[in-house]
Amino acid sequence: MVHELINQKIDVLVAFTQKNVVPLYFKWSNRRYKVDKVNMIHENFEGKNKFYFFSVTSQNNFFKLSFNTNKNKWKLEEAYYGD
Amino acid sequence: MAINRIILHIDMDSYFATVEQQANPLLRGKPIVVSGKEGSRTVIVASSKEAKKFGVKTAMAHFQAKKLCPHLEFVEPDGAKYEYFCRQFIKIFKKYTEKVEVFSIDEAFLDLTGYAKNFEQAKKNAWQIKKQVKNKLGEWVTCSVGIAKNKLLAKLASDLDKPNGLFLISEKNKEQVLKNIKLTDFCGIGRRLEKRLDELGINSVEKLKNYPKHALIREFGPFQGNKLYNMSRGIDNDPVVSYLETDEVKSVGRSYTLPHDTWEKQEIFTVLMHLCERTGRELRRKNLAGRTLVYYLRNSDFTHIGFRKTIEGYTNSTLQLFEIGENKFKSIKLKKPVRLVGVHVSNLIKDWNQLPLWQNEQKKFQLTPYLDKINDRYGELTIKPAYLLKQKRLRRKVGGFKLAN
Repeated sequence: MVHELINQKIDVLVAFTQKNVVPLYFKWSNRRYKVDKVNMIHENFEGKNKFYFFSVTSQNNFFKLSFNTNKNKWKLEEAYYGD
Repeated sequence: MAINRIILHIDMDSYFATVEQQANPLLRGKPIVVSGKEGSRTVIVASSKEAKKFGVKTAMAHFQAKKLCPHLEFVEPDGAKYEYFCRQFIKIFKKYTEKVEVFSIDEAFLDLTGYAKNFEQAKKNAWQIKKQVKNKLGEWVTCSVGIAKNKLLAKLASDLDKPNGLFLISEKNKEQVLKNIKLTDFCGIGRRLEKRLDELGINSVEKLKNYPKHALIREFGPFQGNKLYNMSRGIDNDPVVSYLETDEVKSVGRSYTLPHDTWEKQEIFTVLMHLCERTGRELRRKNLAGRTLVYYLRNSDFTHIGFRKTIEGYTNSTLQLFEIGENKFKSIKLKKPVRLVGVHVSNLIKDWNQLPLWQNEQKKFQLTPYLDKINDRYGELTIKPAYLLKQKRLRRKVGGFKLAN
């Protein structure tokens, strides 16, 4: 198991459902990842800047994505690779 | 006639660890701990259900935990995440009663008196709460619920069926439960009190119950003596205090364990400045100011040095807090390397807003709210004392700060 702090901008394809915003795919390092499951969504503020965090799994890997509502930017924060 | 109360104690099972396992399913079923990086000097903040089976406990050092469980995984804490989900489950609890006492970030008391007819209905409510917690926080997160007629027994009950349990202490089983528990199972009896009781020959709830009340009062004073007497009988009249009516703050403070022991006063002062800024900001946010200032250093051998100063007026100024601490510590010769720095402000007053007498002080005083507004808008330490400009920034972690690169 390897855990990495990434902190890189990414492109994300998102579905806006009536309940939630759900990331479906993201592109990182020229590779496309399909989000199999959103395990957790939480929010946090840095000053008045609101961030949404999405803890997702893609195949046997875990990723934490963040969405900066002030800048409308997505980032890949962390990755945790399975065996 | 006394009202029969219905109290619930809800305890999130291995909270920080299960939240991490909920976020990352690859950690599920594994012994994990929430703590600093593996091998760092911090202690274990929380351990997962799986780690607990190996005897890994909160506040244990990393090497001790690794000895018990060599394949233990370490996850760094994410305080914002735990606070966010705490707010979510409090929202759920508030659907059932207005009286919710947040006891800590992962446990709360609910007073269902008047909201549930009897214990049976309270049990139904408890099952609904458990279901809603799962729906909101995720399938891996569970809580244990204790139901009783008071807070003492409800808290005891939630510990008796863990994890994901529900336990009711009624008049029928109360005596049996009290007979089978250890003194330290009571909330309020820690190791020190247990030792003092043991010196009196009291090593079981039964013996505590049979000990004369006047002798307990003589030994422990009227407050503690009465409390112990009542505890042994399962009596507790403390109300559930909703967080809206929580007692006023008695003190505000911060401490920080350094990543390594240090003899360097400059490093200590940098940390002190951060801690004073945090403390000052919290005082100002709560519209408080204090007179009694306590500064302390913990040495590498866990001995302490420090001092207390009661000032003429009141303060919530970062710079004043820092300067008093800095001046005193400058004159102290360190005899051992330092591992922790702390500052506390007590003797607090509310709505303190007195303009200083001297003009240069007045300027600083008038400027502070604007500096705070900038930090509120753009994040902590966006604008900061020049003292910190060339220094490393401390990043907030659960229960403290961490030096960021």
